[in-house]
Formats: sequence, C-alpha cells, structure tokens
Amino acid sequence: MQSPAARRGALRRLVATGVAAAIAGLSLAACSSGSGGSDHTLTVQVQAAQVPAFKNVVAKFEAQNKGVTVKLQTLTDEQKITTNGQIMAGNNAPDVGIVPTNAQSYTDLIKAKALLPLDDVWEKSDLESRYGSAIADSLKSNGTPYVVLFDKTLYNIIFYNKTAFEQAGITAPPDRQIASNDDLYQIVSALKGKGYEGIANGGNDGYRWGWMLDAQLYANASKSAFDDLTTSWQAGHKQKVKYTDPEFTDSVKQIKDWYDHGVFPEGVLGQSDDQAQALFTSGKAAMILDGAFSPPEIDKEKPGFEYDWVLMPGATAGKPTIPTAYAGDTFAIPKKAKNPALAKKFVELFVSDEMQAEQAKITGALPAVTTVDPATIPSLGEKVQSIVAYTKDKGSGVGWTSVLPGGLAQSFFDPQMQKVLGGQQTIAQLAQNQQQQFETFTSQNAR
Amino acid sequence: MSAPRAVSASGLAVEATSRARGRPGPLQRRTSRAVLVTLLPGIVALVLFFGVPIVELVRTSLSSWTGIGDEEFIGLRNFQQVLGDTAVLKALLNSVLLGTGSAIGICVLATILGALVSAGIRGSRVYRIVWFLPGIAPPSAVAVFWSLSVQPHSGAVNAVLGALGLGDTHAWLAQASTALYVVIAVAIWQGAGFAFLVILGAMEEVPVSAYEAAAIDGASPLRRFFSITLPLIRPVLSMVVLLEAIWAFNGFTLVWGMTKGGPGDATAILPVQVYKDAFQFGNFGPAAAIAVVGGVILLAFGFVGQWLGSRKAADE
Repeated sequence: MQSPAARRGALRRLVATGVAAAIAGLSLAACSSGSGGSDHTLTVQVQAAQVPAFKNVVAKFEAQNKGVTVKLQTLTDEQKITTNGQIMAGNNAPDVGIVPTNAQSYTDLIKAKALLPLDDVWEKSDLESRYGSAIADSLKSNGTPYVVLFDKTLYNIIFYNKTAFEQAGITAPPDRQIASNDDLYQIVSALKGKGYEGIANGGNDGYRWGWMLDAQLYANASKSAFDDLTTSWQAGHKQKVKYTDPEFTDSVKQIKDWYDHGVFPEGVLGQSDDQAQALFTSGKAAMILDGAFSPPEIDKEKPGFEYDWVLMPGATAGKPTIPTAYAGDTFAIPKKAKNPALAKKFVELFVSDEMQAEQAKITGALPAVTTVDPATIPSLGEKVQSIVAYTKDKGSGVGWTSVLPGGLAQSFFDPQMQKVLGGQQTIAQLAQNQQQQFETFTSQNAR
Repeated sequence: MSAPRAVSASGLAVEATSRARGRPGPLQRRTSRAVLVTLLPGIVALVLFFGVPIVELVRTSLSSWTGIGDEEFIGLRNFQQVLGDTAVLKALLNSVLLGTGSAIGICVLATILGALVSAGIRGSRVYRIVWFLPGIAPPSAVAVFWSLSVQPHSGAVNAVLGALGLGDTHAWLAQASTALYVVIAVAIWQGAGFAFLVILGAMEEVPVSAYEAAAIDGASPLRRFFSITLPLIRPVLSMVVLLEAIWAFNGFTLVWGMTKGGPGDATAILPVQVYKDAFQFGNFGPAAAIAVVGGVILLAFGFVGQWLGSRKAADE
C-alpha cells in the first residue's frame, strides 16, 4: 500500500513520462513528415479518370530515377476547382498538383505567389513552340509560366443517335453544322414526334450552360468584342465591351430561345451530367451536349445504337459554331513542394512526345503538344479522330469560361443562366449581375 | 487498512482547521488538483477542436482572404456585405424553411409512427427496423437516389404517378417553385427513422397505469394520445424538433447532392452559400461571416428551444 506522498510521486512520474513520450512522439512524427516524405517519395495529384495514364508515366519515371517512389493523390472534378487551392498552398502540398487555369484557385495561387515559376521546364521541353503561341500565351501570367499543360480537349459537340434520326426522317447536315435555329427546332420536333427527347444536358452541374455560351460567343460576337470579353479582366486592360452589350446578351438569348422551344429534355435544370448521359445512352434523348472525351464513356455504356456528331447553330443563320478547345488542365509545382527538382523532372517526362502519345492512347485525351499528331494515334477512335480532323480544317474556338477565372465566368455564370431559364430573372438582369461581378472581380483581383 | 484511515482522519482535521482559517486544506487541494487533472484532457480537447476553430472563424469573418496567402483585417465590412446581399438573405430564408419544414415534418411523422408501434400494431417489431433504415443510409447516397427517382419519365416516382394516370413528366427539381419542397420531403424521409426511435423510447417510458386509469375513465385512444402521451413526451419531442431543425439547417450534403443549390439559387441554403463563396469564388471572409451569422441564429434558436422545452416540462 503506497502512502499519499508516494502516490503523488508516482503520479508526477507518470505525468512526466507521459509528457516526455508525447514530446518524443511528436518529434518523431515531425521528423518523419519532414524527411521520410521528402527524399524518395514524390507526391503527384491525378484525376480518377487519368490514373491509368499516370501510372504508365510513373512506371517510366521510377525506372529512370532509382530509389524514387511516386505516390499518386487522387482528386475529384469538384476538388480540383474548389478545395485543392488550399492544399496546394498548405504545408502538406503535393510535389506536382493539378490546377485548372480557369479555376478561381489558379488566380488566387498566382496572387499569393504560391507556385514556382516553370520557365526552366518550359525551356527544357521547348513548350513555347510545342504548344503553339496562342496556347503558350494563355498559360502565362504576366509573361511567366507557372503551369504546364498536360492534355487538351474539344467540347460543344452534339452527339446524336443515328437510329433516332433515321426513324424521325432526319438527314444529318453533311458539313456537321446545323445551319439555323429553325433547322434545330425542326430536328427536335421530328424527334419528339417519334418519342425522343432533344439534347440531354447536365443542366444543374454548374458548367454546361457556360459551355454553350462559349460556342455562341465565339460564333456570334465580333472578333474585337470576343477578344475584349476574354481579356478585359486582366491587369492593364480596359473593358470596351460590357456584359450588358448585345455582343454578350445575344448569345445568352440564343440559349434561352432553345430552352423555350423545348430543345432540351423536360427537367433539364434538375439533371446532372450522369443523368444526361443516362438519358442519351438509354435511347430516351436523341442528342447530348458533350466533348471529344465522351465517346469512350458512351461506348462503355454499350448504347445499342450507332451515333455520330453535329454542331449547334449560331445566332445568325449560316454562321454556325465550331468545337471549343479547352487547354486548361495543367500541372503546377507549389512553392512548398518537398521535391521541386524531381517534380520538374516528372513534369518534363509527362510532356515528352512519347508520354503524350501514350497518355492519349490510354485516356483518349488529346495531346497537349503539337508535336504529337492525334491522327497518328488510332486508339483515339474514329469519332475523336473525325472531330480532330474537322478542327484541323475549320479551326476550334476559344471558350470564354475556359480562359476567364472561375469566380468571374464558369462558377458565376451557370447559376445565373439557370435563373434565366427557370424564369427567376431576365436576360437584362443576368447581364447587369455579370457586369457587376466583373467590376467587383477586377477591383479585387486583377488591377 | 487502519493507517490510511488514520491519515485520512488526520487530513480531515487539518482541512477543517484550514477551512476555519479560510484556506483550502491538503485534501481539498488534492481533490481540486485531481479534478483539474481529470478535466484537463477534456478542456484541452474543447479548446483545440471547438475554441480555436471558432476564434479562427470569427477572425476570418473580419478579414479579406482568398483562402491562400495573407489575411487583411477589414473590420465588420464582410458582415455589412453579407447582410445586404440578396443571395445570402435568400439562402437564410431557404435554411429556415428547410430547418423548420423538415423538423416539423419529421416529428409529426415520427410521432405517428411511434404511436402506432407503441400501440402494438401488427408487425411492429419489423417496423422498428424498417422505419429506421433510411436514417442509416449515407446522405450522399440518399441525395443521388432521390434526385434520380424524381426525374421526369425515367424516375421511379414519376413512373408510379404515370401508372396512376397522374402524368410522368413532373420536373420538380427543375422548377424553382418546387425544388426546395422535394429536398424537404427527402430530409423528412431520411430523418424520421432516428426521431421515431427516440420518440418511441419516450412513449414506452409513459407509465401503463396512466393509460389504464384513463381507459377506466372512458377516454378514447385518441384522447389518451393527446392528453397523456403527448404531454408526457413533450420534453423529448421538443429536443428532437430542436436537433432535427439544426441538422436540416446545416444539411449541406443533401442539398448539394440533389440540386447544388439550384436551379439558380432556389435551394441554396447558408452552408451552400458558404461553400460557394469560399471555394468557388475565393471569398473566405464573407463565407466566414455567413457561417458566423448562421451559428448565432442556431445558438439563439437552440437557447429558445431548450427554454421552451424545459419550461413546458416544469409546468407538468
């Protein structure tokens, strides 16, 4: 039996031992996170759909760099445009992160100087010429590249069910371009007559209406107006075309007209991308708004019908849309990366011609560099090849939501458009709100 | 065993003397120290996981911050901005509607179900499990399931209505006037199971003798329910209403999973607004201010609810 004094002594020793153990534990934890992860482990972010392609590059990288292990950190579509900004700036930042250039986090990371400049990677990989000047310029911030584009894609493609078209007696336009709104309404009306819905679209997913606007703005606005709309948010630019001007609102009106004419399925404002794809692959909707990345996903569902693709009309008859290019899926290396030198080597390997061709084969995404011709990659599939061939001939458009920061374009515009389509506000109100957002954004971010 | 007792007795004597002098005695000091040591882990945990985040939240709400880099102190400007922002006010209204609508719906439904099972309807053992099942489903899965189920043409609900001749083209989630009610209905469906179990437990605590006495006096089952059951379970009921309202008020997952706050901002609640402001627009200051406003409202609601619940209980 111990005396109270002895018990107090024992208690003190116990507490002291506990505190010492806790300190030792914390120190060990600090050491392990500081060193164990730094020398031989490279953390690279990846989107779930791209894991197979990344694993291929990882295998090659690990073989080239003995003793180095690459850990893949999977991101969702939602995370990459929202919470990943904080991860990239945090103390546990990955070595190579994914930063879409049209996400608000990209603007914020640049503003906070949280990314490493990658001039050396660009120079070593000759990216200035391999991207082409237009894309290379769009990837720089005040002339400095902080990101490396690793793939490209094309969107604003309307895939259609060939069987449904045949049943409705519709002949698809030979040049793939639906010439006018009237033509579009006739197609949808004929399809509805045979029990099909029109163009399936993930109307509540927060970016699909912005996509449509991208194609419309490129087709409808004058070149000078379009250039102004896509650059006026940047520092040193003065806005010439306001969002309340017809150059912008005419394109919004176009989408509203389609909606009012029942071009989209019943309930489109409450449907996600997955639900839209299910409507198309199940044969309920005869068309779907998608991109060059979609055929593998559609084929996976074994739709049971042949399909092909067309393009939406512009506001002016005879001036249709063309596919919109997206070149914003980029790698960035955080300033707090533990292995910046290795990270740069990984990025350089990823954008090499060999790996670009490999990743296109595996994922179906288009190579980011012009030195790899998609036509030489048969596994991209007939439809993707035909879209690429079309853009080689007719060109591709620049997307307003693809080049503007998310807080100004994509994230802001889509809910506004939903309100217009749902009758909660007018086009004029949308335009005023968009202009107000522009003024607030530029006063806070760019100037 | 006599020695410790002797020491203890002696300690008490010293303690009595010390207390007489106005100073704590050794036993009291030891007891205080032991209490402090026992409480310390809890206090540290509270400070770390509750106090620090709240202080950080309030600090952020008084700052301009993109979520990356340095914060700039701007005083109450964020609060002025969010309280004058129609989108935030709309989100607040939606939160209140979702909170009250689902809490009332859940409690009414759970009370009816509880009364039926408590009365021993046939299959009540099975119902205890079946009615609780929606409560254990992950909210994200519930959101996906119901958003698919209410789609026009292809959704199960529309298919049933179509089969009944009531049309299968109802696009409730696509209409600003109906989308929030669908979310409330789903919140009720999911929340009723938990409330049912708690309320049933309270009902089964009501003394059988009270029902027997009422039955002898000729009270009908309905009268017994309103005059005996409800008054006696009122404290539990008010607590359940309070909890369900708070959970629904903060019910981000269900709303985001079903509608992302749309169409437009028709179903945006305060947590959705916080998420959008912080992570889509990089405005952490206003987002934190919205969170503070929501927290204060819930705190006030909690106090009022608890006061009402305890007051009624005391009356009884």
